[in-house]
Amino acid sequence: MDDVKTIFSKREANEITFTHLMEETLKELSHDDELHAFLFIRNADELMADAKAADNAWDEGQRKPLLGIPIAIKDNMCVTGLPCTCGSKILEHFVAPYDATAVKKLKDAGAIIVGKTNLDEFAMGSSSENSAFGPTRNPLDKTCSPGGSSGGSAAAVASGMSLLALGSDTGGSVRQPAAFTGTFGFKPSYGAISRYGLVAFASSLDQIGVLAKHPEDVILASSVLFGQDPMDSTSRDIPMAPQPEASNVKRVGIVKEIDSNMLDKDVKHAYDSFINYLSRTYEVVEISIPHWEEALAAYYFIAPAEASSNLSRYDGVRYGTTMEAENYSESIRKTRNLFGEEVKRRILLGSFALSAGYKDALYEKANYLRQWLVFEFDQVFQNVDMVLTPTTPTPPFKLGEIKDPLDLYKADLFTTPANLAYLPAINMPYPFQENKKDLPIGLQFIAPFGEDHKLLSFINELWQGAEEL
Amino acid sequence: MNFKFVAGLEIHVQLNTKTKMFCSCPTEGLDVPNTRVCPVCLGYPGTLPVINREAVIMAIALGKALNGHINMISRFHRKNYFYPDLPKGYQITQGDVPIIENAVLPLSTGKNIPIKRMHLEEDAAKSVHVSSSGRLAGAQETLLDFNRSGVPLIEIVTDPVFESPEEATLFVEELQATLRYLGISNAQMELGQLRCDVNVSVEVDGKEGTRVEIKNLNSTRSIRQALTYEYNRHVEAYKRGENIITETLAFDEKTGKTRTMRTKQSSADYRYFPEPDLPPLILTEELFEEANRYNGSFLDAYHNALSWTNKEADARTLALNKDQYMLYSSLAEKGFDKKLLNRMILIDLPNILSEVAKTWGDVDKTFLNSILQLQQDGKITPAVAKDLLWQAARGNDPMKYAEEHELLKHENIDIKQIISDVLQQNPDAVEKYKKGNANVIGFLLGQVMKKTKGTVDPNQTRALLEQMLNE
Amino acid sequence: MFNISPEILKHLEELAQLELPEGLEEKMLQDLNHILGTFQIISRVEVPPETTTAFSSPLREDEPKSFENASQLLGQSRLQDGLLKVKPVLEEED
Repeated sequence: MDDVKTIFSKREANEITFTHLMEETLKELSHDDELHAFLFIRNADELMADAKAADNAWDEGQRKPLLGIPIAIKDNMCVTGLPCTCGSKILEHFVAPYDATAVKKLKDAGAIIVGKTNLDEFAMGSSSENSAFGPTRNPLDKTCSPGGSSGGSAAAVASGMSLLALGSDTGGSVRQPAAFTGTFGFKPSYGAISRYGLVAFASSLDQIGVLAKHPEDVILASSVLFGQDPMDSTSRDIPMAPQPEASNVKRVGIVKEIDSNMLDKDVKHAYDSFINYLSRTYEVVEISIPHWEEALAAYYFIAPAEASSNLSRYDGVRYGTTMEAENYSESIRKTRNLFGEEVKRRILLGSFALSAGYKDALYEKANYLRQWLVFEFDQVFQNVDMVLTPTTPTPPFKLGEIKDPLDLYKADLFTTPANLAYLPAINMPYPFQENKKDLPIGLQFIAPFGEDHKLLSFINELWQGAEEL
Repeated sequence: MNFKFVAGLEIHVQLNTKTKMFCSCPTEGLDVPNTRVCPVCLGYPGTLPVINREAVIMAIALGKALNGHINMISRFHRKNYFYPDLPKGYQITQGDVPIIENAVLPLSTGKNIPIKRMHLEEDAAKSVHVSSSGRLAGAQETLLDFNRSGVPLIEIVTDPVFESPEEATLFVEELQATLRYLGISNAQMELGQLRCDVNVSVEVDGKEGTRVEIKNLNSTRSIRQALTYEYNRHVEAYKRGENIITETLAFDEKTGKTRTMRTKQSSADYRYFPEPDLPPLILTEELFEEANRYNGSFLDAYHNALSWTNKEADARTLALNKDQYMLYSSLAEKGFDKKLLNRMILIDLPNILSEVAKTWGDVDKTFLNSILQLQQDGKITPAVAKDLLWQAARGNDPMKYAEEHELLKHENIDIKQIISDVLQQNPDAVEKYKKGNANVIGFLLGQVMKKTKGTVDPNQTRALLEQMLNE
Repeated sequence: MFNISPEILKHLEELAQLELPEGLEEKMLQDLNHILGTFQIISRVEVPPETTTAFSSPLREDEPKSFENASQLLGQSRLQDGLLKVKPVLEEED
């Protein structure tokens, strides 16, 4: 599938119309019962009407950055009038009464929202199997998981059901599914994209991210989405331009603490060979993040702690599903019993980490760890421009393969540090798969805070360079 | 045994900002339930708080007024608990670093009351418990109005520093007045704009007693009554050798007694942690400058009132009622005689207002001005002045009324002529007087006063009447 | 070493207003303790170096703005005379 720039130039040359583009998209969407990437797809007539309107606007001379471009939204972001289930029974019938800021910006940029994508319940998971409405399948191998929690968005992009998709990334939920589906998945610096309208999982870690097949589309979408929002006090202005520019990256760090023998052999091979490839053009140096290994532990106390509080609002009193009972206390318990097992596990873990007698040892210590990570990355970026890691320790796993929740948590091993340290990071598919039918392997680049544009420009350079080989 | 009363207060004050603490919903027009709401203050998924700048300015103003330590960097925290009136399942409040610490409220009695901390937070929804038999008891349903959800609050906490129920009550009264003079809250307890919880215990021979908490006291009268009741209850129990148990109590205004209230959660563990949706609140010079907009002072008012009335009790009454004080103050500025003012503003008008069910705010200042001017110029008698005050309280222009009803003293009024008319028209009474019945003079005087509409001095008239009767 | 006992689990369920179905309690206890055991390295963390955060909460001007569909936010079926109906809160009052 073409990137947005190519679509626009074809539209300029009248080779295609947005209506054609939408027809093709609808054709793909009609196969979604196999993948279950979407929890909700907008009515075809409505979508065609939107595409027609985009064509008219174009013909009238309007040139919006994403005019007529189909986009999928993870079902934990609010779109006025559309359901927002978060993959949970508790919000099964909830319809959003307002637009998330990111959604509003996409609409203003002319994008056409095709539907809401599947996810692990409240974005808690790494396989999309924790959705109350059934798992999503990996378009590259339907017996495999597309990763998670933004598995639906990744599958939608990988299968061509939308050109772009929004995901959310709290501990890797955009990058890991991108790695599993061979797409680009970008988690910006914390605060770069407003979280207003993104249903909170862990507020200090959550970021909306972009999934696409082409790095230039990631840049374009980011330029639409970035910016301080008066509705989100943690958002801030971080520079982003619609086009890439020369990145001037010279030194790339590889993390000493990642023992490559711990990696799956395919991942290890891809990682080693890519380091090798990189070192032909860039200076590759070993760097140390001494607290790297403990990062996952910090993540698995901070994220559940915040989640236990964020998910307290689901009491059935004002919206969502309400389980009837004789009194409030019974009603709220019955209602909250609709949460799936993983959500309950994290709420309980988080309540424990914050409870009297344990908070100092768990929640507070986890934040110490977080501060160490911030400090250590700071030191590292005095020396290198980017840090490279594998995105995941393994290639895509089979649906149902992982039973122990802890094993699944380990899928976030390499992605959580960027969330904890507020840094921008992206998954780039390993470009040199020998057999094109092999499952994809993901490579992660992490950049200094606020250098999102440099990171994306660098990825674009790498990708073009690799394609030319 | 030696008993000593000990109490500490926890006071919630609604700030009178135009919008809520963390969203732009208006704080006015709250009478139609659930209309001043938005996704933020209803705790909808995906919503985020944004701090109201004016609430911060008001907190700074209060901190400055009460000589508190103002933290240049403070944080908001989440206090987690479940209750239907709490839409997010947590309240955004301030934890270990509040915006203000260690302030002092100087009482008009000269005593300084230390305040431990004052912090910003959001109000919960208003809940009404309804049952078939009426409200509250045996509630079958809870009804909620979220208009109040998210209204800015400042919580004011003292250590157990109060030595008597009267002192605690005085503190609340003068705090209330302080907030009103500053202009940051209307602080009306009956409207829930100021709400008071009290911790109370009784020391026995210098040994600390068991502390109980009394929740939701909604008038200063209740505070005094509840504290007195609890003090007596504790003292009686200790005298009998019984213990007091730690518990939360409610005060029943009808019976004047406290009763046990079951608590929300058996084991309160609020799991406070920094609100991740709000970076630290860092104060700037600009905010401090803007806080100067709120600058009225109760204590200044009290001292002025004292200089006018020369009586502490009168001065306190006057200063505690800001509207009354402002009226007095503006008339005093015009140089009216203090005796006239004290009579009008401290005695007559309060009575008249309560008779006609009006408030200080309803009184037209220019009307009072006219009456005082007429009095000062000797154009009306005290009786007419009071009559005109009634008219003014009813909203009638006293000047116009006086003219229409010819109530003004006329230089050229022929009082002798009027008296001789009255004597001529009442020959029976004159006869009785001459036969030695002195009582009829009252009747005759009344007739004269009626004809003159009270515009003549009664004592002088009486003397003249007697003189003419004896002629 | 952190360990969640069945009693602590009950307390956590109370705090979180969750009621685990019978069968799940046992498994949950195992999972949670397994997780805690794995992540207990956290207790070894030393005090980190001071990092300064100059980032401050932005402040919003005190200008009222009504939400357009305020009266529709709470579903009609939940309302009684405009007030939101909730089942009685038994714990609070006698």
